[in-house]
Amino acid sequence: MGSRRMAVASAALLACVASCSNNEDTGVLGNGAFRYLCSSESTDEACTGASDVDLPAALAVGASFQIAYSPNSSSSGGVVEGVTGYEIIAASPEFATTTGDTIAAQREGLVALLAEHVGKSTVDDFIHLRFSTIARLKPSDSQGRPLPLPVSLGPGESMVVTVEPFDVNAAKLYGQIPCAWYAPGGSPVTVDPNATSRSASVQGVGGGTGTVHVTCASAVVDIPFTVSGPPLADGGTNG
Amino acid sequence: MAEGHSVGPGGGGRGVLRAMIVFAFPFASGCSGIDHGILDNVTPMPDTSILSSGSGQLHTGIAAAFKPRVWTHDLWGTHEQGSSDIGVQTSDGSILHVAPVTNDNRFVMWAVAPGKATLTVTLSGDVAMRVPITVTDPQ
Repeated sequence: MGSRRMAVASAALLACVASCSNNEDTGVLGNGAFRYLCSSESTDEACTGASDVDLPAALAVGASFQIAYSPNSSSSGGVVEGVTGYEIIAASPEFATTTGDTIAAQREGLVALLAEHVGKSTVDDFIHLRFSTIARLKPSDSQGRPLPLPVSLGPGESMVVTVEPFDVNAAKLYGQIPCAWYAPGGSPVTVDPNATSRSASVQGVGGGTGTVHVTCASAVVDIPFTVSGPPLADGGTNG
Repeated sequence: MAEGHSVGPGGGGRGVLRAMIVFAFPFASGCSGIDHGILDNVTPMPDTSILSSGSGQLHTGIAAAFKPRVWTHDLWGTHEQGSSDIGVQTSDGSILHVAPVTNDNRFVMWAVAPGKATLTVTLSGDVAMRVPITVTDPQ
């Protein structure tokens, strides 16, 4: 069971309050609230979108995320923030695994996350989350607007491209999703070699057409690019 | 005539003793004890998983809370017992896990992996009911 547990550090929770969104949901038993945690550098759209909404409706298989639990006050009934002493347990390691304070969605389906009271071996409350496989990746700009394809760039021009994950029912999926970006040799564009998330900087380096290959979890998309104009003298290697 | 119906000195004591034995026998022979138990107030589950007092079929990863209730019987009827003496155990923690709810008389069970397990409700350590649970992976 230890591998399925996540210690909820009060420091992480408190550090997050100022920068993260306020996505939370009341537990099934009504004893407290589960809050979706976001780090300031997160590219999870649940963290960059509107605050004060519920937990994400569905998380992508292959994504990771963090959740904390806050019990209700016995006196006022309101949620008490920053309370320690709870561990989040995933009901089944088939569906979710934990590494430190991070939960990773492993397979499609519903899974319960339970707030266990450390030392008492009792459960305070629980919720169910849905994990869905990414069926489609849609390219967008840094503002989330769909990109017209092929994407047009000039030599030396760069832009941040983002891919948005959707399930088979076209519902948006959330979570910190690892992605790999690759521009084949001879492509008129280069991509930031350090890009590992849903966003990457792409730069036009030469005239012509080509694609950028993006893999996020089990989903793949080829984004076509057109670069008009003479190629850069240095091939764009200097950014 | 009247003497014929009298029991004489000491006869009344023996009659009382017989009566006590007659009344005590049912107690000694099992006429009191656990009557039945139920799983009450089962929380809704987000898919087709079901849990009742008779059986349960859960998909892997699903959790449900419930309040176990136990009644005992004696010559004067059935009586619900206090929740402090009620416990819930699982026969296989690798398939089905169960834990009490903090500061509450409910319990939470969750399906860990596919298989079969039995949920046992006890009253002061005595078995009140057994609920067979089947855990399967969702389609």
